[in-house]
Amino acid sequence: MKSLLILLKGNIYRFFKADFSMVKLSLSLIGFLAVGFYGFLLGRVYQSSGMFTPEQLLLLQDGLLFAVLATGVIKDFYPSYRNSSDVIGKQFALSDTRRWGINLGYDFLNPYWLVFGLLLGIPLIMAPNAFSSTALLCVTASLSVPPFSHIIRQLIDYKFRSVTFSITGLAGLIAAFSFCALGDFTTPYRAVGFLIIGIAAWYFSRIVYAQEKVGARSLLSGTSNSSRPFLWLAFTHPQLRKVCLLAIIFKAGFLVLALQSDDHFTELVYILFYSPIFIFSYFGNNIWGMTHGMFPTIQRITSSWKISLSYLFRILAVPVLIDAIITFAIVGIFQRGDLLFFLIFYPVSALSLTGIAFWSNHFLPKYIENSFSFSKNSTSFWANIIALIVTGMLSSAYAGPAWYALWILPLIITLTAVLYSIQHFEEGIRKVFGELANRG
Amino acid sequence: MIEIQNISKSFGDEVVLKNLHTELHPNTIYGLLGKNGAGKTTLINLMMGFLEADSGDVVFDGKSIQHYAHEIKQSTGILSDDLPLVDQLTGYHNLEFAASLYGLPAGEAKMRFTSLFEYFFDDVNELHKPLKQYSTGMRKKLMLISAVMHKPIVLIMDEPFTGLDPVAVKQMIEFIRSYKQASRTLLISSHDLSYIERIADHILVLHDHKFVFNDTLKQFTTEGSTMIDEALYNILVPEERNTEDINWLFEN
Repeated sequence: MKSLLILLKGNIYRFFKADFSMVKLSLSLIGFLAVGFYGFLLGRVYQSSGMFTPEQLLLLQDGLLFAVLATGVIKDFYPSYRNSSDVIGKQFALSDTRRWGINLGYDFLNPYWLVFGLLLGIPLIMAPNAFSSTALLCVTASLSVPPFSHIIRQLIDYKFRSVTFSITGLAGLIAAFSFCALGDFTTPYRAVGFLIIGIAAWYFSRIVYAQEKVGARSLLSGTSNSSRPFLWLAFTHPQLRKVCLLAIIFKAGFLVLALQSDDHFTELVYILFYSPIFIFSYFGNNIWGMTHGMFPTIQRITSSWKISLSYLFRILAVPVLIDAIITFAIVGIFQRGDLLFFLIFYPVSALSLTGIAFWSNHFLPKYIENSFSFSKNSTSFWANIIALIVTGMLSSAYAGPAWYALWILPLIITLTAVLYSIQHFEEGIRKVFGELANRG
Repeated sequence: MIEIQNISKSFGDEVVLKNLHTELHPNTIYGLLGKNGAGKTTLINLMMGFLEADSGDVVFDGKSIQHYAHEIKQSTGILSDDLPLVDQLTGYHNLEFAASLYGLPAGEAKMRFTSLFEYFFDDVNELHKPLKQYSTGMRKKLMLISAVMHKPIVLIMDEPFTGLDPVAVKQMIEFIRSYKQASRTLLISSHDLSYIERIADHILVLHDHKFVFNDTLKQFTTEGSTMIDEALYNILVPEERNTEDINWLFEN
């Protein structure tokens, strides 16, 4: 208990003592948005108790929804979290106190926060009364806000690193049961949907954990198919398997949530940001390690850019297919009226974001050495920002039929990005080899 | 036959190769020698189309690398440490990937790379390990399998012996000797002169942007009266080096 108190006290003290200006700036922004997130959750609580007029609530909801989006975006897509020793090298003469401060500062960017916040926040938003909402808010807040989240992360990262994903999956399961316990059983689809997502999250997390323990040996080894290595990569490679599963599970969860919500417009915009983004950002932007070896291998054997692109797209083929099946199934069951929109939107956004993801892999890479982890600096910030802009433009179609014309813009951007990539592809390779030759 | 036709390459103001010209014939192993930075890797990269020449061309059996890069690469194999494999895949999947790029049928490809793997590796189960678990020597052997599984008529090797244990070196030498038999051309760039001496038929020495020696190994060692390292030293450092300035280092 004494050491826990020291840890708490020390962390709070060290956080405020951190004087790294860039970190401070980031923290201010994140702190502000984090307040917005909790404000949003609080607004939902008050919505149940009738404190605001419907118009005020709508305004508050939209404003805070933006805060959630922005927080989520930054938390998910900002080069998320690094240990202080990585952020600031040992060569810099900083005291341990300041290192801890900066470490804690980066903790704000830890996506665990978002995972706990959202997984426990989902039932909160849907909760039937103020009491259950407040109870869940307390749980969420206590798990999410430093220094509590710092302690949790310490436990997860330093003590039980290998079961990180299991804990995330377990959180999904808890969220699902919480919802079932507190929710409105007159809408069985909701309860069943969340339960399935929760169990799936937990179950897959156990599989992934087991696979991690036995190593990365292919599940499918023993048979041969020339396109298999990349076609099945999402299953055979632990890192990509995690990314893929997370993306699909989260997306399905958000989709179910959004389609059950009353404020159709904002919620749909919300899930649109998360719908293809999860797949194409978490997946696409995390395969840089793959393309790092792929490009030279392809260049060694062929000069055809068509072959290069075909292999890049093969990596995404199976996860996208699974995601598409889940998406259309959910929309078909819960919101048949929107099915046509999704049928059009999905391929368009998929094509746009695939191009951007590969472009970003090539030009704005973030190399991941080990397994995918929430606590690693693992995404390309600018690539995701571009992806967000494109998704935002795509989602503008909801504003009215005339806005559908805007769909052409992301396609033009994507086409430009792809053409730029192709044009500079060989130049880039030659530059690399030129530098190597210079060194040689 | 490969013709290197008056090829020149500069990086900025630095001239690396200038009007380089030679022909490489089948059934011959060429040893490419030179000091660090002489331009050996640049020449190999130009030959494979990884770099674009400022002037001149490399022609494989009448086909320019600039216009027929895809075809030429399909009949050429290259082994180089500068060309990474896909770390995230297993050895098996890396070879399968390369085979699919060569357009080999799956069954045929598997037969070829499995038999090669058995030749170079003691334990065939290593094939299913992720590449991250491979040592430098294992990676090199895997890269060689990837470079020859399509039976290329030209095999270019950049430092093939680096990182290999003595057993693997012997295997590599035997493999290279056997590979040249079927009218194939091999170009080997290496600093391991003793190995070059054992396998090369012809020596190319790159120095001051050009070939300063281009003849048989026999001629290079002046009919065997000189050791290969001495011969190379005599060409590259014709004047006696003055060691007076660093005498302080050798004194007590």
